Amino acid sequence: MTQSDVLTLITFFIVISGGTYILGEYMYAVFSKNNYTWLKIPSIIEIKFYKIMGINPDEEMNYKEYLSVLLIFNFIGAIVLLFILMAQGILPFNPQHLAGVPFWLAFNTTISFVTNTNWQAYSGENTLSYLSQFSGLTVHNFLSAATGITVLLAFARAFKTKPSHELGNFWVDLTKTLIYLFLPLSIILSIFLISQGVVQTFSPYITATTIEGSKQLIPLGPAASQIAIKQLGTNGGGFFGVNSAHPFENATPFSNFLEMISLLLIPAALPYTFGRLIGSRRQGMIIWSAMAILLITGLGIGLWAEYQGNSALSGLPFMEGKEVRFGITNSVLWGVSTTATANGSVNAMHSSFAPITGMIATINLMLGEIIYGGVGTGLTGMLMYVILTVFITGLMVGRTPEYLGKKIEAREIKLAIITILIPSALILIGSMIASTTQMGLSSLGNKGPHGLMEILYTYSSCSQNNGSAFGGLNANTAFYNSSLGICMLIGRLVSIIFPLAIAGNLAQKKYTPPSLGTFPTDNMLFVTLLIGVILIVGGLTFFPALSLGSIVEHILMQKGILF
Amino acid sequence: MKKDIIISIKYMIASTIILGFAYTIFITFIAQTFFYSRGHGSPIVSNGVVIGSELLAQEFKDPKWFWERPSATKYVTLDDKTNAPVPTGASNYGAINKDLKKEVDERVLAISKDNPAATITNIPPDLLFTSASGLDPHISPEAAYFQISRIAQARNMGSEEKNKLVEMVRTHVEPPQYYLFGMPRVNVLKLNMYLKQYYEQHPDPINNK
Repeated sequence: MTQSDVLTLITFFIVISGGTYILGEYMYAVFSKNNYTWLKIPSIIEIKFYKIMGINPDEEMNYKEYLSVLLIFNFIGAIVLLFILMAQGILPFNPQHLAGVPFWLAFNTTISFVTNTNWQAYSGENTLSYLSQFSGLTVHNFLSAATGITVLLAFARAFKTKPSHELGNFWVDLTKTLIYLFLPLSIILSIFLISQGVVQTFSPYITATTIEGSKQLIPLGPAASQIAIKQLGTNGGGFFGVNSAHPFENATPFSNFLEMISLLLIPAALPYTFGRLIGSRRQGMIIWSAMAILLITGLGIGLWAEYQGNSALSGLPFMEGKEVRFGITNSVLWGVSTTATANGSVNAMHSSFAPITGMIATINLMLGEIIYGGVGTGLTGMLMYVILTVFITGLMVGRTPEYLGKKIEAREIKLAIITILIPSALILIGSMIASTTQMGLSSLGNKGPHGLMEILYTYSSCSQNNGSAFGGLNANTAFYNSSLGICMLIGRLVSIIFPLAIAGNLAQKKYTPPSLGTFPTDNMLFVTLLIGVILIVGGLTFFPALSLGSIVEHILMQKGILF
Repeated sequence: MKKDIIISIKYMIASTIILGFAYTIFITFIAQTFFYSRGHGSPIVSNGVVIGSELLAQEFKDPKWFWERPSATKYVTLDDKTNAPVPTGASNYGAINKDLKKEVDERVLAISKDNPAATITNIPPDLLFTSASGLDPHISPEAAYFQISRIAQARNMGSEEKNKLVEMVRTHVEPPQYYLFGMPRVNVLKLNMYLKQYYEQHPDPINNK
C-alpha cells in the first residue's frame, strides 16, 4: 500500500464522518416540520409544484394509503420505462440507430431500475439509445432512490410520542427528497465529474483512426448527469457496460474518490437524520457505529486478502480486472463500499478479486446491504435487525422488548423476521435451481468453486437489490432475465411492504418513557449485541454455501490447484 | 385510488420532463460551455483527424511504440471486415482459473521474445493482466521503463537516444492526483504521441525508421 493509498483511506473516512454531520443536519432541516427561513424561497417552488400536480401536502396517510400510493406510482413508472426501452428504435435521440430492446431484457431492465437494483444484463453503449438512458433510466435512478427514502421517513414517524395512524404524505416526502436532496447534489457532482473527463454530450459516437492505422470506436453520450445520480442514489447502473471502470465514466483518481464518497454519503448521513427525527441523535449514531465497525472490518479483511497476491500465479498481485489509475486499494475500498450499500457500481471486476475479498463483497450483499445500505432501505433493513436484537435481549434478560419507547410485540417481530428471511430464501433457492440445472450452468464463465460464487453472487445481488455482478456469468438469457427479475421484484417489495406495516403498527402504540425495566439501546453493549445478531443470522444462513465457494477457492489457490 | 393514479401519471410526466430532459440538457449545456473537449470524450486530434481519446487505450502491436495493458476486448477496435465494435468488458477470470494462467504465460512468452531477460516475476504485473475496462489508458511507470529496451532496439537507437527515451518517460509520469488519490501512472497514448512528434521534428537519417 502506497503513501497516497493511506492518505486516501484517511481522507475517505474523514469526509464520510464530516459529511454524516453536515448532510445529516441538512436532511433533518428539510424533512422536519420546522420552517427554516433559508428554505422559504425553494419552498415556494415546492408548493407551486403540489398545486400543479393536484397534491394536498397537508393530507396525512396511514400505512396502507402510503403503501398503495407508493406501489401505484412505481407500477406506472415501470410501464412507462418498459415502453421507452422497447420502442427506442423508433423514438428520437438515437444517433447510433439501436433497435428496440427485446422483451425479456426490457422486462429485466425495467424491474431492475424501478427497484433501485440496477442489475444490467446488457452493455449500455451497444444496447440503449440516448433517450432510453436519460429519459428512462436517469429518471428512475432518481425516483427509485427517493422512494427508498420515503419508506425510511414513514418508518421514523412511527416513533412519534402521540399514538396515531399517520405516517406522513408519500408525495411530499418524495418531492422534498428530489428537490432538496438528489437534484442539487446531482447537479454539483455532474459538473465535477465532467471537469475530470466524464463525457456529457448528445453527439454520436466518434470513429478514430489510431496511430497504427486501425479504427477505434469512441462511445459518447449524456453520461455524467446519469452517473451522478447513479452514485448518489445507491443505484449503480452504469452508462457503459463496464460501469465506473470505464474511463469515460470514471476518468481520474479524483473522480473515483468523488464517486466513492457519493455512494456512501447519503446512506451514512441517514442514521444521523433518523436520530434527529426521533429526537435522539445518540440512537441514530449508535446504529451508525455498528455499521462503521462492520464496514471497516470487511474492508480490513478485503485489503489483507488482496495484498497477499495470487499464490497460484507465482504470488503476482491481483491486477486482473483492475485499472492502473486506481490501483488495488481504491478498487477494494470501492468494492466493499458498493456492496455494503445497495449501490452496485464497480470500478474493478469483483469476479477477479482475491477469493476472500470476493467473499467479503458477497457477505455484504447477503446480510441485506445494511452496512449503511441503500438510501433509505439500508437503514430500514438495519432497523429490522435492531428489532430482532431488542427481542432477543428481551428474552435473555426477561424484560418486555421495547425500542424508542414503543413496545415490540409478536407482530413486529414476525414481520421483521420475514423481511430478513425472504431475500435469504430467494438467494438460496435461486442459487440452488441455477446450480443444478443446465439452463443455469450453461451461463457460467468460471468453473469449479468460483462458478458457484458467480451464481450465489448474482442471486444475492438481485434479491437484495444491489445490482453488481461477478461478471463471468452471462445473465442475458431467458432463464436469468426472468428469474432474476422476479428476485429483484420480491426483494424490493419485501423491503418496502413489511417495514411500512411495522411502522403502521408501532405508530398506533402508546409511548412509554424509558424506565429501569427498559433495556437501553444507546450504548456500546447494544452495538455489540446488534453486530452479533447480524453475524449469527448471516452466518447460519450462508456459511455452508460460502464454504463450498470462496473458502474452497482460497484453499485451492494456496495449494496452486487450478480449475 | 383513481385520484392516486391520476397524480401518479402527472407526476411521472413531470419527472420525465424535469429529471430526464431539463436536468440532462442543463448539464449538457454546462459541459458544452465550460468543458467542451472533456464532455466530448477528450479527443486527440492531429491534422484534423481524431486519432483517439486521451482517456482510452488503443491497440499498439508494433514494437516501436509503448504498449498498453492487455485488453480482454481488443480496445473496442472495429473489426476490419464487419466494421462492428467489440463491446467493452473484462475477462472476469477468478483467481484459480486455468485460462488466466494460460494467458499470463502466453504474455510472458510474447514479452520475452523482445526481452530475453523477462520472466513472470520481473515483468511489471500490469503488463500481464487485462484491465477492468479493457480500455485502461495507463501503465505503471515501471511498465513504461521496462519497454524502453524493446523500443530502442526496434528503432535502432544508440545509448544517447535511449537516454532521451528514459527522460521522455520520466516527464510523462503522473503522480497521484493532488498527492492524495490513485497511483503514479503513464498515459500511453500521450507518450506515444510525444514520441511520434519528437521523431517527426528530429529526423535522423540513419536511425529514424
